[in-house]
Amino acid sequence: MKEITLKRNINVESYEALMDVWRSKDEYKFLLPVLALSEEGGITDELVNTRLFGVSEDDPRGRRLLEVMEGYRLIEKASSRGVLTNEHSDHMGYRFTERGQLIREHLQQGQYGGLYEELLQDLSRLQILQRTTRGFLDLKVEYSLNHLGKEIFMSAGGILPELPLGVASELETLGIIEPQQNQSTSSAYYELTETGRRALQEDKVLVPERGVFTLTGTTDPLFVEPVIDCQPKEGGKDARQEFDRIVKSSWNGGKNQGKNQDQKLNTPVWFDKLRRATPKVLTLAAQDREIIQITDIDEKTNPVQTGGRISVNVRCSLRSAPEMEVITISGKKEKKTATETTFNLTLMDIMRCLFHAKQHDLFECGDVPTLLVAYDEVKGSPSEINHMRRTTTVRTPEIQGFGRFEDVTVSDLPLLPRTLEDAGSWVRDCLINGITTYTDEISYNQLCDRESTRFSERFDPEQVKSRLPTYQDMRVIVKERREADPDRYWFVTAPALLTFPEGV
Amino acid sequence: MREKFVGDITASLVEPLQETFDLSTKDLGTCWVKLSQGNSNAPYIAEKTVHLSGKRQFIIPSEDGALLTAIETMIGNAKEMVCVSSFLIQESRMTDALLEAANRGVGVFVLTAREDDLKRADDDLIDFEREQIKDHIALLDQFAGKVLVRTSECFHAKYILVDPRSADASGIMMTCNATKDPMLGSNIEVVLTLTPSEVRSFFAHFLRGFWNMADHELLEKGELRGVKKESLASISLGNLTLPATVEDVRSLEEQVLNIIRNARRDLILTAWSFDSEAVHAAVLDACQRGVQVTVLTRPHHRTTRVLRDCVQAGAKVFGHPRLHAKCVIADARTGLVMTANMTALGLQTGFETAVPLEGSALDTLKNIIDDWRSVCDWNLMDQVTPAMVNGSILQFSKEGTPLVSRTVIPGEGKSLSAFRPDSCDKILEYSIGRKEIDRIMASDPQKVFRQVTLKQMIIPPHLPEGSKEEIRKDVQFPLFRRGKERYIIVKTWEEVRAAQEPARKLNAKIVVDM
Repeated sequence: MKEITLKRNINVESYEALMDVWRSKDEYKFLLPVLALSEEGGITDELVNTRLFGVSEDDPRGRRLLEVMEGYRLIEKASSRGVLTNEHSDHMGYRFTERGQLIREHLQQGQYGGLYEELLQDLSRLQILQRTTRGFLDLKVEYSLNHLGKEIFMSAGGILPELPLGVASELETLGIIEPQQNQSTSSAYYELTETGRRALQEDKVLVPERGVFTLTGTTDPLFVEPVIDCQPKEGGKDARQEFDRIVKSSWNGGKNQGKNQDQKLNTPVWFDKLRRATPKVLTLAAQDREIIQITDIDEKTNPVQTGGRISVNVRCSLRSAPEMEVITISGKKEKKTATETTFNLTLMDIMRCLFHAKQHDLFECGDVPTLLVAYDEVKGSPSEINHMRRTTTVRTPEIQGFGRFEDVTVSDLPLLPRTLEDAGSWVRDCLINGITTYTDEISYNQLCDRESTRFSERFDPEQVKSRLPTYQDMRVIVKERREADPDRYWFVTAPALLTFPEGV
Repeated sequence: MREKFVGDITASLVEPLQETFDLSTKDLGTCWVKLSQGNSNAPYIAEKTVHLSGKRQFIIPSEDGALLTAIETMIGNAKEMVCVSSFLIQESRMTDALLEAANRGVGVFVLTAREDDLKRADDDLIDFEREQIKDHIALLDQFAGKVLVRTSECFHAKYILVDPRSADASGIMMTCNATKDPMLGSNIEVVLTLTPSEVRSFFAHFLRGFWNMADHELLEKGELRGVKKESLASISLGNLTLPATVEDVRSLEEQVLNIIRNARRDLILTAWSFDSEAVHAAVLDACQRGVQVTVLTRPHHRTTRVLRDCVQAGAKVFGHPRLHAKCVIADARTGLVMTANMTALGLQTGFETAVPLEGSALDTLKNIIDDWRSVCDWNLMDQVTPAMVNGSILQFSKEGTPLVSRTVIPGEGKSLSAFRPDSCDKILEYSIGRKEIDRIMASDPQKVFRQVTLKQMIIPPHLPEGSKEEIRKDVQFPLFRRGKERYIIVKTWEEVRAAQEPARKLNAKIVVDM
């Protein structure tokens, strides 16, 4: 029996929102050897320095790298587990760099316009600055130091408070602060986070990128994850502004006016669940099964119209579990992605759904779904009689728990006779069809032996054979059918007549 | 000739010169000589068409349709099956009877040749049968689905077997194909009914052809399929009790050679063609033993090439253009009728059968052959001369080209254009040349002359006008001159002879006066 492919188009909806999306970037693969240290006794800055960098064990580069990796949530201090963001360093002291001093002065004097917009956005992302937009047509963005910002930049004498690890490493990356040289050299011991373990396992390092992303999701029960696609909004930072503008306009206009609090309610359940479940690692079913991690989804979302069409093929065969393929059609482009599915029915289960009215005539014969039929059902079909298989199309089949699919063709469904009588009649037809060359009584009896074993998994061949015509009977049968089937008439008649009689 | 030239010249030449040539002894080589003046290509009409010899019938195909009637009756009685073998088949009352039998449930099986086989058969088809190939193919299509036809290029035997497995088996063997005209007597053929035991041997022969030799079969209209050579365990091919050529069986050739080699007194052979070296050698040997050998065949260059040795050795060979029957009789004691020609194909590699005959059946056959002999107008002879012939011949060419048809003319007279010499003394030496005969024969190659008479007027030269007399005392004849030419005038042949010497001296022509 050939595999069955269930097909249907799926309903999808897309929403865009500001969020952190962690994606694999090859240029960060250099971090994998650090992660691999976890299998060699632990991740410490000393080991990083000596094993990987080949420098002295107290070199600051090792510690800085580990702090960055901690910021990427690949590792965490051995003493800590779970949420990292509230963790403060016990060992690390920082001071403003020269650039950091300049930025501090600007911020203390409220001179935000003297700083690059990109820097202001990065500081907003780190919740150091508060970003506020005003106006409708003439949109204005204003910044102010929030609580963390005041602690950092308004501190007296430039003495920095203890900073959350992620913030410290980001500020260090931005060149605003640097570790103090006189810090203790005692080494911190790190362990892999779940993200780190996955990175090591899959040879991929997920790196965060904050931006506006479009998430495409579905409620189709065939998918393990509702989110099946994630695409960055084109246009970079301009896109972010544009996003803000659209969100704002949608809040202020028409139906949503004055219903800011309902914004979340307008997003679908899958989206809200995702938001609640972040940080969340996802395998994108429609996007070559790319693994991403999503964190920090902004509350503002915007529905997006997608022009493409997505369909699925679920291939069900005898020898393997069902396999699903997602087909994304955008214009003339078609992309196929094999993906995981919740569809876990056996072929027999599927057959029972497809042939619901005949489900009691279906049984497994050597693990193969087989349909029991009466001879009358097949006698008009030489193909079914000879090959004991049926190819048929089932219209819009419904599979329990998975909904309806497009018309499906079931090819080569094995058939067996329901009763011994059916088997006898069936084999008789096969016998006649099996006479394809000159056949004498000996070869005819051999043919009978062979044909009567046709249904041996269900009926005793001897019982079937007893229902078959003798050679002399067959001579009469082919004579009666001579007009319609002259070949077989000769195939049986010639050997019977054209032989020298015994005893002459 | 010379004695004729006396007296007055002009008077003696009033009658033309005449000369008769005797060509009656010219060697024409090996020829078929026509023995009578009748139309040798006319269909053979037998005086008696059915001969009875015990239970066996000899049927001579004729316009009365006796053969077709016999076949119709036989097929009409078929209950189980009919087996037919014939190199060529044409729609006839026989094929109607076969289809009728098939329609009533009788199994009808036919062995024949397919179109390609027929086109390859160069020697065996009678000329007009070549025209019937299209009919043959059309008929096979009619048979499709009703009659099981199998083909092979070697299926040359001609017979019909009815219910060969039963006690009531019947059959006939024919020397003719199952085509309409030969079955109605267009050729010299013979058909004989078979005894039940002979039918069984023929059936064994048929089974070998059907199961082992056929290479194509007709199951569907217009489609000759290749035959799979499968052996079925239960098929019994039976025993060949009669001489035959089939597969590796050569018993027919052995039988024919035995009859020839054992002939003591006389030997009769009839066949459409002869090219078997073994038969040729055996016949020559019989001639050298003093056996009176008579061969009836058709006049054909290939047959002639083989049989002329036998003629030289004393065999009598007679021909008829439509002689197609194949028989052998020795000493009126032993013989057979067969479907094979005296060829390698018929006796060594083909598919042929025969019925040996003796006793009264042989006498009957002998009488039939005697009847055929009486209509065989052509006699193959060696070293033929026109004196031996009065009528037509078919001349054999050693180059192997077809026989040349010629007619021997007893006497022929021809007038040649007049002989006009410039001096009368040339007439004294003149005679009609042999080369004139060669020229006449070359202009009419279909004719052979036994004697040819040639006539020619002789016009003596006269003194040209304007000649002036010249006086010479040393010349006793009147002498004239015109330009540089001198002329001596004479009146009688005696003067011509007397004037020859002075004319030679004066370089003068001898002429008569105007």
